[in-house]
Amino acid sequence: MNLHLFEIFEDNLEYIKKVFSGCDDVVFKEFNAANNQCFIVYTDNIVDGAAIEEMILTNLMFRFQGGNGDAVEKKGIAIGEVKESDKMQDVLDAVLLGDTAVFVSGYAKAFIASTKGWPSRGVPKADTEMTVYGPKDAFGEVGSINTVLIRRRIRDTSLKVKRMKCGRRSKTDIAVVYIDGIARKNVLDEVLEKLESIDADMIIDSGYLQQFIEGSSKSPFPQIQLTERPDKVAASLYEGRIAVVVDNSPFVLIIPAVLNVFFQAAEDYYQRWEISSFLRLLRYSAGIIAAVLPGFYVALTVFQPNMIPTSLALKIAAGRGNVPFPTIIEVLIMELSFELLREAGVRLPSPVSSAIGIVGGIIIGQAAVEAGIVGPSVVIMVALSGICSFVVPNTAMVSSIRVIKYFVLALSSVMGIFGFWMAVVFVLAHLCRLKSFGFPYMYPFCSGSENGSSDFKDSIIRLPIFMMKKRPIFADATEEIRMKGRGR
Amino acid sequence: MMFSDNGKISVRQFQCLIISDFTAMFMTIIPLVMFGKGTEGIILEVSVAFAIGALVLCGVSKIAPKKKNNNVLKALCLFLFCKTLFVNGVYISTAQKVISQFVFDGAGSGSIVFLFVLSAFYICLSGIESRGRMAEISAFFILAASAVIFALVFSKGDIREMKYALDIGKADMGEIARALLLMGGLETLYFTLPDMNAKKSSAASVSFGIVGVIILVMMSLSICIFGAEAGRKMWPVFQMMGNIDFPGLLLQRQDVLFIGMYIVGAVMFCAHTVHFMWVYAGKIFESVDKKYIVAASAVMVWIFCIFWGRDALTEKFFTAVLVLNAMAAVFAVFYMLVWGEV
Repeated sequence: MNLHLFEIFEDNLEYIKKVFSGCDDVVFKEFNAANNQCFIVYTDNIVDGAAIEEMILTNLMFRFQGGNGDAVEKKGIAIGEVKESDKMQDVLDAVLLGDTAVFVSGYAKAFIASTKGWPSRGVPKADTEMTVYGPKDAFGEVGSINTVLIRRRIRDTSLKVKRMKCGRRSKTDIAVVYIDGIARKNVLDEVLEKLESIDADMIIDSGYLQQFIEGSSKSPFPQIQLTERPDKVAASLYEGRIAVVVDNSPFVLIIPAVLNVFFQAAEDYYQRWEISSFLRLLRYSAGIIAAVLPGFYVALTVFQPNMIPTSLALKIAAGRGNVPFPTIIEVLIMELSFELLREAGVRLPSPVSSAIGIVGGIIIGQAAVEAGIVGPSVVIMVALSGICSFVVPNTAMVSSIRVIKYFVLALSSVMGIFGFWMAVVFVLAHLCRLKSFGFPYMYPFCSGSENGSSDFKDSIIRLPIFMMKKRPIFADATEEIRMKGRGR
Repeated sequence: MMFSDNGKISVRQFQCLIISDFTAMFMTIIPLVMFGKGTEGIILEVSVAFAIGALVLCGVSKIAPKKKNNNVLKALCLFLFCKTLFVNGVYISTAQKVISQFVFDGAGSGSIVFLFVLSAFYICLSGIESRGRMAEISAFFILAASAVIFALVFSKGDIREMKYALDIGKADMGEIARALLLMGGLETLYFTLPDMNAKKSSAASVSFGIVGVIILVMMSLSICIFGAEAGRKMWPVFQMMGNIDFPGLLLQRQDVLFIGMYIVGAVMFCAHTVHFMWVYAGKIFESVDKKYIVAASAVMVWIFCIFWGRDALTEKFFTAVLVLNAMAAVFAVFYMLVWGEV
């Protein structure tokens, strides 16, 4: 809609009232300012009421001496960010965003004063990516505060924030954040192009946006990283990656994202490298175990029992002596119970969810074994697989591993060890096909030589920070050196 | 320095492709055919065959193929397409027999090969780039597994058994030629060169040398373990893996884990087969969509293995393999000398 504001003051008032008819939360206030008729319009509860009262109304009604449009902007509205616009759509969008539109008779433009004052829960604590060391703050639902949290960590004029709107009706504010010179221009262009090409009526959360812009929608693996930690975003920006802050979402998108980054935790960089390397190894091993253990167990016990040492095989057989189901059904019963418990735990309030965890983990497991529904070895195996999945520090990757687990389980239960290995081959082939904004998903394990193999220093192991002199492959080649000396 | 969808692979990926495509398959085929006449002089014969193969590859790497397609190339590609289907079909059927014997008792050839060609189709569909990346992972698996096998089995064998296998007086030129001709598919290098980001003439020879070393180590280990008996075993390398014993591991038969390495290698060989059938067919039918050719090639491999796979281990088939590989080598060399650029 390219409608311009009307020349006649009353026409503007009438038109805007008509547009907002039925919107009781939109407030119109008519008044006089130095013999000029004026009205302001704003949306209640998403504005800073005190600012409107003090800086706009009091100022215009009692202090303003009169004058042209320029005088209104400079002397009448005592707010830092004031824009003029002659477009009706700009006015309507601003009102919906928490700004206040000021109209003065005899002047065919509106003043849009920034009076946003959304209800916010401040800067919350991270609750999906908790760490022992490092900062505890996390992103909230207010996009502008999220941007501030990033800027606090990067006091550099090269940090650029490109704002745009997405969603035909939701008009969600989006901020593309990057460090000029470090982020690759072609990746930035691709991100902006994809964002601009989105034609949807609403973007409720960053998860929506993620699904619109990631490369392969047919893959269970996330190709964009979501994080609630500002320190993680800041570190990623220094690596040449690009962040997308979506208003109303406490999760920021980081682009591009390869498999390796989903096994990195913020804390890895805040403690000694030996400890971090050990934890990385643990996480990778846990991720693999979580994905393949149930399948491997079924392949071994059903198809290749001769692979298991005799004493162990006898114990497993004795444990499932009264179990009336075949092994695959037994494993599925336990796996699905575990999935249900996990899902129930997520939805319930935290004090109840811990109780559910205890009830599910101990009582139901014990009861199922005693009732002869499943064998004890299956309970141990499923519990181990579940615990391993929690070791992976990214929720999206954990979900992918859960899906992959059933694929491996299905092929293993049909074709034994051969099916198990074929499932591994299929998953590997899929991972090797995937790309995130042009970067191979398996980087640096594949194509690692492209950056002189330096990215291996921050992969399965994490070498000392002073040894990571080069930025990762995501950064522009002209800014590939990030540190020169050790500081001693 | 940036990745792109240009259908090019790095020199490292090219080397990994050679290792991952050929190691597992040669590990089955070469001992199967060569041990047939006994173990005397066999290590020398296979060593010389690999050395000649590496030299040939070094020479081929220096020839840059012309981009222009012509009728002679189309005729050569038609022959290579049929030859690849037959020779590689025989090799894949052999792999299927190994798998059904060691890890999937009683399975029909159809199901095993179906999964092979399905995965090969999936890998090939996105071109040589993703094959190259897959090769980097699988080459690592193959090299690591081979090193572990060597470390765990070496102490169990008797190295004196190698005396006859290294007897220069028993080495036979005919057997060397036979071993060399078993290494079918090396002519595909000529068609891979245009897909490389940078040319390096020694790259292929080095990685082929690594394949040779792995095969020779595996054959030597099986001779050290079984002695002259190795000649009477059908799958000496795999039966040798039965001696793997890693103390403390929660598994009794650890060889089955190493079969995983073989399965990965067999899939990569199958992907190699489908990829080059697509390359050859693509030169003949230039306007046909790639995915249809890849799908058709995969289906043809599957059908070949179902109907002719059960006879794959017969002398008749292996003679045909040797003849076809010899013809392919002659035709390819002739083509390269006449139309290639040295």
